[in-house]
Amino acid sequence: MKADSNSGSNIACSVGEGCSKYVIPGDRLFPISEQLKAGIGTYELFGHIYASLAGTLHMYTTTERDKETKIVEVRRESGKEKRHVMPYVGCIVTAKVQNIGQRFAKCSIHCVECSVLSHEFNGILRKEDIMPIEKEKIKLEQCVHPGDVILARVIGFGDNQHSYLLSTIEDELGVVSSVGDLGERMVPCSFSEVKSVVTNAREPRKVARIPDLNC
Amino acid sequence: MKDEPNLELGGLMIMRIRGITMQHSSVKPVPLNNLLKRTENGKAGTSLGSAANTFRSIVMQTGALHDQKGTVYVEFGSTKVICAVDGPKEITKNTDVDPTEGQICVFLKNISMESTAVPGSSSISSKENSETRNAVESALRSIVCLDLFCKAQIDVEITVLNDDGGVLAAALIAASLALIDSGIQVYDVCVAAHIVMLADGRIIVDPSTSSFPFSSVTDSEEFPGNAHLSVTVGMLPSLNQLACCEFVGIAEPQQLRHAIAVAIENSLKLYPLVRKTLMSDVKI
Repeated sequence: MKADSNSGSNIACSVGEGCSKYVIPGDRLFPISEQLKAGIGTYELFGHIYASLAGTLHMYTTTERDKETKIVEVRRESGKEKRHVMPYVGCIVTAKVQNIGQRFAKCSIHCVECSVLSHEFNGILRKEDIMPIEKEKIKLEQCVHPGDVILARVIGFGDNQHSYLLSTIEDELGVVSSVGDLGERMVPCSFSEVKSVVTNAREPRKVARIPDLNC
Repeated sequence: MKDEPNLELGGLMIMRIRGITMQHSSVKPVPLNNLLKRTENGKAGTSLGSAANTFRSIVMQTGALHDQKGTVYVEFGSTKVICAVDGPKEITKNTDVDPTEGQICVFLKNISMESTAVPGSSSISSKENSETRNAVESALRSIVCLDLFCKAQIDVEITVLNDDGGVLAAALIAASLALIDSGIQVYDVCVAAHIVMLADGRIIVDPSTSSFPFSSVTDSEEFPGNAHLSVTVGMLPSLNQLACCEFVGIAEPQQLRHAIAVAIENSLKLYPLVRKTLMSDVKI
């Protein structure tokens, strides 16, 4: 084990696996070196790695280009608690369609990957970002409807608006649940249609190709 | 620190320097055990001194509202402050904001003032609330890692249940603890202290309004001759940087430097208590 450079500091942790010490923001953890990287809940300043969250210290090892690197992380104490999540470019989000127009559909983002957001974020699903082919022949009302629950990927930020640009071009993205005219639920029955559970009426949708969903 | 006005001016000078984050190479972070050792020595020193050099009874409690994360109750003697953090969430204001950084909105509510609302004094209290709110918001912008919350907004709601002096210091500590308790990433905790330097040079640490009444002066001509200086500092202890420095009154430059140094020294004495408050969260 490598000794910490602060010889007089008995509070700082020594570099090693399984170090589970509780830290608060501002605690100096380790000096910056080539073998150490600052992960989640930490930051680098003045040649040292500091904690930016209140929680337990975690360290794990990864290998990059045949070089072992230890990553320092600070995680919240409660395992059930998720840290604050926000939509970022490239993530998969669960959104609900609010209203549709000629060129785009307005959505509200409720989940990011597997985490539920504490507050909703607005998203915009443009017509050209719904289907991978024949973009000029797409009719938006045949792909999504207000009330649909969709899986989408964040591809960017909207200009002059506090919203995110969404995309359902991939096969695994699209509508996973829908609402019928009577307010009943409509479930996917094929890759392009949803069916009402009450009236058996069918409507066209851009359905997400998820194996468990189409059983 | 720039030169302060001389006593010969005879005018009222209210100066506020907020959100100071010095990036000089001479300013070095303090190791953690040095902080704890210094505070222990400080405590030993204050026990020998008079009662005027110690804080009032302090209570800091996280999870003050229904075990909800991000709520903190801070009590300095008779000054009681509750702080709640909501967010990150979508930006509500349609102002021209920086798209790459998050926004912090501070809402300050003073309940003790509202109960004794007089038409003449309500304007003064609302002005003081606005100044305190601006000071807290500016300090929090220095504390929070805002680059992680782009296109998002963090709401900090501060409620002053009772005001007996030192509201800004209590609000800074409460807001900092609430942000940490809610899981928002910050650079450091914020410790704050409020002191008063009397006309004869004596310094009172954490005075209460009932003991040392500091009347709000709206006109500089009415400023009393035996005025004293009120200083509030907010400190990032590990990084050794100021987040907030606010003073009201007239002082010589060397007196002001001494007052600020004493305020910083006393704010660092609160670091073990802040740390203990966050550590107690582990037992939940």
